[in-house]
Amino acid sequence: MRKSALFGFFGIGGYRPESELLFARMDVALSEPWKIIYNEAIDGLITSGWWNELDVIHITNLVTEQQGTLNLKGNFNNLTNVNSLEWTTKVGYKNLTGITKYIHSSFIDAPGQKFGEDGRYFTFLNVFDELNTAVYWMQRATGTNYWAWRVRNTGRTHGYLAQVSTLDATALGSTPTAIGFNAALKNSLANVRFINNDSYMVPLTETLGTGVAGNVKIDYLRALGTNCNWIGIGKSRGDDMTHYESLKSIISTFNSKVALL
Amino acid sequence: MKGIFLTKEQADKVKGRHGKYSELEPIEINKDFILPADVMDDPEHREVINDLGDCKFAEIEVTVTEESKTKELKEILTVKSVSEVKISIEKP
Repeated sequence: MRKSALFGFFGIGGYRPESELLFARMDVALSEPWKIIYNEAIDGLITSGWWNELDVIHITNLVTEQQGTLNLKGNFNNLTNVNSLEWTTKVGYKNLTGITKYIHSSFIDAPGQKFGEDGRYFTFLNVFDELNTAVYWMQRATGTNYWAWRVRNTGRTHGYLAQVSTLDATALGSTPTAIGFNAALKNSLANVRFINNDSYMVPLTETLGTGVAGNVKIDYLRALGTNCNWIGIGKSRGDDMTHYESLKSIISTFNSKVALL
Repeated sequence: MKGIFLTKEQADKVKGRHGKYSELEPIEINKDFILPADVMDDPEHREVINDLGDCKFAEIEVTVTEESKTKELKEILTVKSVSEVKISIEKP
C-alpha cells in the first residue's frame, strides 16, 4: 500500500516528520493502516495551509483515548478529560452524563498564538452524532461568566449564539442538523460568522468586544448528548469558504477511512 | 445522574490531575461535593478513588434552563436523594 505520492517530503518510514513525532507520543503504537490515514490527514492539513493557522488540533477518534488527547501541533495543550467524560475507540467523545463532565485543552489566549492574531479567531468541532438536549456543546468563557461563540441545540433546531461583552445571548439561526463540520470565526470586530457544514450561518454585524488577552478558556461538550471527534483552535482564514471546505474535506476523508478499519 | 457524595476534605484530596490525561473536579452543592459515579470505573482515577474510603451515593438532578445558562454550575444542580447506606469503594 502506498503511504503517499510525496515521498520526497517524508522521513525514513514514509511519513511526515510531524506524524513521526506524534507516533512517538502515543502510548500504544498505531497499526500501519492507522498510520497511513493519520499521516494523510496531517499531510492534508499541511498542504492546505491549515497546519500553520491553528494553535491546537485534536483528532479524538483513534484507537486509545490517550492518542485522542494529543495536540497535533506539539506536546502542549493536550486534552484533559474532566470527571471521566465518555470516550469510544474510533468514535471520539460523547457526553452521556451531563454538565459535570467535559474536556478542555488548557488553551489560554496569549500573544504569539494564531488565535487572536490580527483580530482573527477560529474554533471548530466536528460532530458525529445528533445532539439530544437543549444545552451547549462549545463554550468560550473566562472564570467570570464571559461567554462567546456558544452553540446550543433545542430538539432539532440549532440556535447559534454569540455574545462577547454581556451575558445576553442572541439566537442567530438554525439548521436541521449539527452533524458534521461546525465552526465559529471572527475576522474583525464587527464580523462573527458560524459555519455549519457547507454554509455560512447568519452573519452577526453587531460590534463585539475584543476580549481580554489571557482570559479565554474553551471547554467542550459540557452538556448531555454533545459530541465531537475533531477539535481545532486558531486563526480564521477570511471569508473564502474554499479554505473551510478544505478542512472539512480532510476531516470527512479521515473519518470515512476510520470507519473502514 | 448518580454521583459520589464527598466531604470537603475528600473533595480537596481528589481534586486535580490524575493518570495520563484526566482530572477530577468535584462540584460543590450545599457545602458538600459530588463527582459523577462513573469516575469509580475509570482506571485513570483508580488510585485516588481507592484512597477515599467510605462514601455515599447521591442521585443528582441537573436543571438547565434559559435562565440557568449563565449561572454557576452549583446553582443548577440539586440533590434529589442521598443513599443512607455508606458504601466502601473496593480496593484492588
